[in-house]
Amino acid sequence: MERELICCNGLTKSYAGRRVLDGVSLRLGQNEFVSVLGPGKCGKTTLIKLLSGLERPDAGEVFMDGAAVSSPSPKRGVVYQNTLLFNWLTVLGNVRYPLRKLGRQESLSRAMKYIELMGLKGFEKAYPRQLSGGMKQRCGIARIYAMKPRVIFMDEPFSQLDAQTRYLMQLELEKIFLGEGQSVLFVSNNIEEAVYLSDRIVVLSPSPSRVVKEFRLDLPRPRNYLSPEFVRIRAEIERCLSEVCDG
Amino acid sequence: MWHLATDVWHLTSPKLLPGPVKVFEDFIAKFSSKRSDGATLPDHTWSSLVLVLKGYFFGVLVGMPLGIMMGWSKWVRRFIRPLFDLLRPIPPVGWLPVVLILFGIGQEGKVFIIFFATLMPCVLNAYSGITQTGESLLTLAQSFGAGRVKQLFFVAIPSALPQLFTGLRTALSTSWATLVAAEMLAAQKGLGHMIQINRMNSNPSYIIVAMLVIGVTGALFSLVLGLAEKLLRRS
Ligand SMILES: Nc1ncnc2c1ncn2[C@@H]1O[C@H](COP(=O)(O)OP(=O)(O)OP(=O)(O)O)[C@@H](O)[C@H]1O
Ligand SMILES: [Mg+2]
Repeated sequence: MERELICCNGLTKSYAGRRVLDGVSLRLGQNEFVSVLGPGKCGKTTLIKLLSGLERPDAGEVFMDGAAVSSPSPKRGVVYQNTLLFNWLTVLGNVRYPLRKLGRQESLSRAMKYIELMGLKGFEKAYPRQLSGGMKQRCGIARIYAMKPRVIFMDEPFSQLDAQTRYLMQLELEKIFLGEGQSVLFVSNNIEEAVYLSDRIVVLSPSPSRVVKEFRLDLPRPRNYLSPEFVRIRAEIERCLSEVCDG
Repeated sequence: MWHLATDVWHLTSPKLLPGPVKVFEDFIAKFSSKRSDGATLPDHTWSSLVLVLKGYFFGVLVGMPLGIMMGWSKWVRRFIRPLFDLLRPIPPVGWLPVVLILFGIGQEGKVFIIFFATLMPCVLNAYSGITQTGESLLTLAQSFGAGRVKQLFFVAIPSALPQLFTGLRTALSTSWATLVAAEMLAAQKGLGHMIQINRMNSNPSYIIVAMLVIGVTGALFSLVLGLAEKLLRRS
């Protein structure tokens, strides 16, 4: 693995006395794409909250570049499962919000670039209440891409998109990931998507969850959904997940 | 209907309820006449307006920041909230006796009462608006690198804006109603005074004129604030 960017050890978290995460350890290298798969409600969102500094673990630690992570920071971008936008700002305003330090011209052109990339051109003056769920999601993604954080956490970012848009978004994400040298930690409920995008796939058990299995994917990019190798590894992960889900 | 009941059918005595024609004539005449209550209609209106706007201005100036800080800072809240819980049930006019003792019957006293009438709705609405800001919105801003101060100005205040405006609107209508009441109790000029004096001089059409002006002015106030809110939200 290349240089390590994020690493966590023995993350444990309980809500109201119920243990959700039970000693999760992960690492994420620089410019590495790691996907997390797991049964529903196993604590994937919780894991992202802990890794990004949004919440603190009960036990265990998170490090980024060797420094402990204890609060949210613009170095770590999070695309939430339920996109939260500032509803008094337009799409453009939302995407520009994190870019205010850049200066007017630069922030405007960068925001517009990613708004366009996410297929929201023509909606930059729209307010969140005028957008569909999928458009809000894409606006949230544009906002994070435009920030260019060192690491992007994505929590089922494409779940509300139709199949066609989803496919386009996967292609864009791969381009951005390959082009910008960022790291991505990607939570998905779609195995095919994860196999297409990831360098590594981590499988979690049902909660209280821990890492049960890791797959390394060395297929050359761009990957072909129909190549025998792709189909084989996809089937293997599917089998693993259904075993995990059954207990 | 009013016209029919009074001027056509004469159901009531004109001494009690004058018809609309008479009221309209008096309304026009009152623009220059000081008859009965010692000032012209514009004088009364202007006097009331100036009082209300002065008191309102200071009330907003103090009330909004105070409410916002109460909502934002636990410490400010801890110290000031009990005081407000104590003062809240006192209706603004309830301060009148105190004010009369302190300032006499003059204008300062009424400005003070209006100040209170404005202060309460401003503080309470700003306070609840700010405390209702979603914690997750603040965390989101934090994750974009916004510090506490920026979170206040760029997240908490904008998200509370509708409630801040509710405060401004409630405050203005309360102030206006309060002023009229205060003027009825103690004043030498103003629309409330006009009502009071003409009641004693049995001049019902002047009373109706004053009430109409009060109503229209109040409605204009809400209109202006409504427009201001629209403009602010658009930008
Ligand atoms: N803030 C919270 N308070 C109480 N319980 C919580 C909280 N957050 C999560 N939980 C519980 O923790 C468990 C795991 O939640 P989490 O959202 O992390 O799972 P997930 O894997 O992301 O689920 P999904 O597949 O629906 O996205 C759930 O049972 C949930 O009810
Ligand atoms: Mg989730």
